[in-house]
Amino acid sequence: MSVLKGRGVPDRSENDGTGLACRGEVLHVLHLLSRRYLHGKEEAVRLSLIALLAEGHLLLEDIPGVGKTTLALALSHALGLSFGRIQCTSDILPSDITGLSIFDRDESRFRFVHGPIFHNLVLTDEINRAMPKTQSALLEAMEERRVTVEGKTYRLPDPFLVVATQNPSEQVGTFPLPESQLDRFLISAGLGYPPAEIEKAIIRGGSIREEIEKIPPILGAEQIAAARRAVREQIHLSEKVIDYIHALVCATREHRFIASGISPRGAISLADASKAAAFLEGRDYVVPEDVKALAVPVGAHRLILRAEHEPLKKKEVLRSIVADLPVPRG
Amino acid sequence: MVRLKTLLNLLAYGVSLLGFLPLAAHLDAPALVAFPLALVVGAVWDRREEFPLKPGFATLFTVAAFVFYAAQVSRDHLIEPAVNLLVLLLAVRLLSAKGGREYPQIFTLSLFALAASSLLSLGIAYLFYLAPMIVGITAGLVLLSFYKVDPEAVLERRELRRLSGVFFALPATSLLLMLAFFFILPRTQQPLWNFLQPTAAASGLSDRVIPGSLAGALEERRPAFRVQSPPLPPQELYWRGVVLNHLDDRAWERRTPPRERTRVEGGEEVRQTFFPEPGPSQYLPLLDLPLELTGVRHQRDGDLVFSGRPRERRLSYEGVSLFGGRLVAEDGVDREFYLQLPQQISPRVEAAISRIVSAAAGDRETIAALEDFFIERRLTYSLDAGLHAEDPVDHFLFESRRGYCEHFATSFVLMLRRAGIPARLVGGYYGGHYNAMGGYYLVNESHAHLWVEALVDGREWVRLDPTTLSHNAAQAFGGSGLNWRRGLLDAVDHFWNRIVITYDLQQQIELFRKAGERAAPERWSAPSLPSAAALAGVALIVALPFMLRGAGNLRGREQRLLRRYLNLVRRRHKLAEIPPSMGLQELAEQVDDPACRRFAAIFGGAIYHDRPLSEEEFRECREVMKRVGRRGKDEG
Repeated sequence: MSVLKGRGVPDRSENDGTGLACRGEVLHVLHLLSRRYLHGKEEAVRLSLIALLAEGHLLLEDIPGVGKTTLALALSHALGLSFGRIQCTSDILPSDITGLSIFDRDESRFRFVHGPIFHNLVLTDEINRAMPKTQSALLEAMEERRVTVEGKTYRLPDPFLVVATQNPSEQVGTFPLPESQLDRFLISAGLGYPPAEIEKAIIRGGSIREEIEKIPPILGAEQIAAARRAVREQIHLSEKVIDYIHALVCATREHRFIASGISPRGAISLADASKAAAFLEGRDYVVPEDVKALAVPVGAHRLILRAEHEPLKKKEVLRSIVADLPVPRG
Repeated sequence: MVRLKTLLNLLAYGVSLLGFLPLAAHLDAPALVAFPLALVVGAVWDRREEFPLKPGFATLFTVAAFVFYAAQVSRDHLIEPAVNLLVLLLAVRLLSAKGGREYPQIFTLSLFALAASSLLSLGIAYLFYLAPMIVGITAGLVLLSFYKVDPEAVLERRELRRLSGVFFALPATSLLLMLAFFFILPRTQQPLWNFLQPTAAASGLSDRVIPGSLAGALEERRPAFRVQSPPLPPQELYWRGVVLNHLDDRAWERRTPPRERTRVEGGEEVRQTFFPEPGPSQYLPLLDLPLELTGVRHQRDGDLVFSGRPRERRLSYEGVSLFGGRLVAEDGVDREFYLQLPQQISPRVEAAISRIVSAAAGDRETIAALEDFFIERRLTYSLDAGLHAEDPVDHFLFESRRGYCEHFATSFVLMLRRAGIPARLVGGYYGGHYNAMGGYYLVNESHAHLWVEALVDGREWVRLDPTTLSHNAAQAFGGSGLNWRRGLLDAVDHFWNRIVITYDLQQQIELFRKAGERAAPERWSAPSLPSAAALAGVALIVALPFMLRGAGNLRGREQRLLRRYLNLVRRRHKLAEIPPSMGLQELAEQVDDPACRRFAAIFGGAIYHDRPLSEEEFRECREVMKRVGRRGKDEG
């Protein structure tokens, strides 16, 4: 008998032979970080990678000390990206972020000193502590991916990923981000306390900052660009899933608890993020489950609840909407 | 215990015989001889499991026959070569080896042969061939499915009995459906092929008679018409057709009669429904004396002649006659027109007339004397009259003294006119076979007759039938009744024509109209064109989604597969319900079943790529479904 041939249908869910560029490396980053360095943070790492692949930014809403900075640092190392950090305070100025021109006596001219924003991965801590003027300068830079200082425009490096954090429980002396600016973050997520066993291990092991410094770069800017291109061009978003996303955002707009639902930009973000999630799963098509899983991280922070339902959590409202929405199956 | 092959052979012979018989009358000699021969030889050889015709010869023969008949084909001559070829092909098939491929060929050829016969004739016999053929072919096809599996199979008697239920149930259902379709589907009213070929000229009512020009009248058994009517005294059954009023040289013909006002009075009113056979004649026969005619477009002349268009198809019309009535010419007639004579009359005839006229006083006496003269001559009624064209009247009365109605009537009318009595010839039919079963008269072409009408006292047209003056009239018109067997056959034929063949579009509309009236008496008068169009539109709109669905049939297949899969998962994994908000992958994760994951990957890979499943994927999905929920058993 002749040699047995393959089954014809490639096993798309398991192997890497899907032609999705750099998927193996991205997955390696995910596994390395979540299993070795950032125990119990797999979901956060995953969402960060999705934000990176979908060319968006990440907002981490959590209390201090749960590993936000560690996450950002680890990511920058593993991804082979430069790292900048901005610690926001109420007196921080836009120039503290973007950089400023100082007079160089030796050369007798103004020289532009790049601010911390000129890095691939920028951690903006406590973003709600910055003044609205500074916030908006930052958010503009996030959106435009360039900075204009004193009439001169400087391009930000590519890839460019902002990981902003804010402490939701702190209210005094903060300038909460307006919804219009929240909309610019692709994903908003929390880290949460680690599970008991893992937390004990963390206590036992102490800080891992030094170890993180030693994480070898697995990806480079080029590979990330290739992976982003794969997400953009190779992942198929079917009409059925588009219908599903549309039905979902419509449901948020019509919901009785919600004053303002997910915007078209939010819908685009949801689609992009779903494609990135499908990339991570090794599929070249988006399934409704991708959308379902990302609806809350991508959508919840964009909702404005009605005044009388303010005490409810946006995430819970959105989760209930998703749970009731039929998925397109056939 | 019966061998399957034997049964199939029997069915093949039976079915092909049923295809051959209705065509037999239309076949050429080669086919007519070849088929029965092939049937017998084939049957004999079958017992020996040998076949007289080797495949090569069979092909050669087939091609030769095809070429031969193809050469004969022309526009007017298409069906005959085709049916001959069909029968020859059938004969070849019967002679050559028979297997799983050849039996269906025999069945198909036979069915074609029977179908072809309907192009040549529309007799009721078709129905009697069709029904057993359908039964035979159904049985053959059922047996063939067994034969394909095991050509040497043997059937037990019990199995055969059970199978025979199928043999009859299937055709019975289809025949019932045929019955339903009969009333709905559009139909033709004549053999399909005949509309290209005008109906063959046949003897019948003619508006020109040349006595003595024919050696003898044709004794045609062909029916001229059937008429539903109450039974009437047989001696008085004169079916009036045409009036011949002008003698042109030697030929009696019909000229447009002069304007005359006539009235029919007295007698008994008789209503009849006529079913004339199609033919070239334009005259519409009615019982003498006719009063009115309805049901078909016609023209009525003053001398009670009704004419329409040549009858290309079967039709029916109704007539009202005054049986035993009197035809009164109210304002007199154009005497000169009805007294016109030939240039010369033989001296013997002249002498006879002058003797009669001198002895009689008045028209009635003259007529009586003339009748006496005919009786004296001892004329013989005979269809074998001999040919004498020179002076037929003289020859008939004084030489041969034998003839049929034409000789009697033309001689009589001539002598009447010579005696000064206006007279004319009436052509029609006399007599007919009363069919008590069907309640109608069958009138054949052989009943065609010619009699005389004379104007008595210038006022009343009186019917005179000189043929009855022959000395053997009693025997000649003894009224040969139909025996019961022929009566039954004719009755069946009549009702077949009445109910099936003449059932036309008009009657269909009538049927629907009546059904509509019954359903909604106050609203439906007749289905008007706009309302019919609206109905059709609504039907189309209702049908459209189904048609479109048919176009996207693949989608339906995926839907069905998914429904089956979900049901399967629910059952095997004992889920109460799969909520609509749950995706396939989510479901697979929840039940933690690799088969479900596989299904989700294949199925989702197709539909979330906006494409239908490929055949291979479809097959794999079905394979995977067999493993759903089976993991525990395999591994544990």
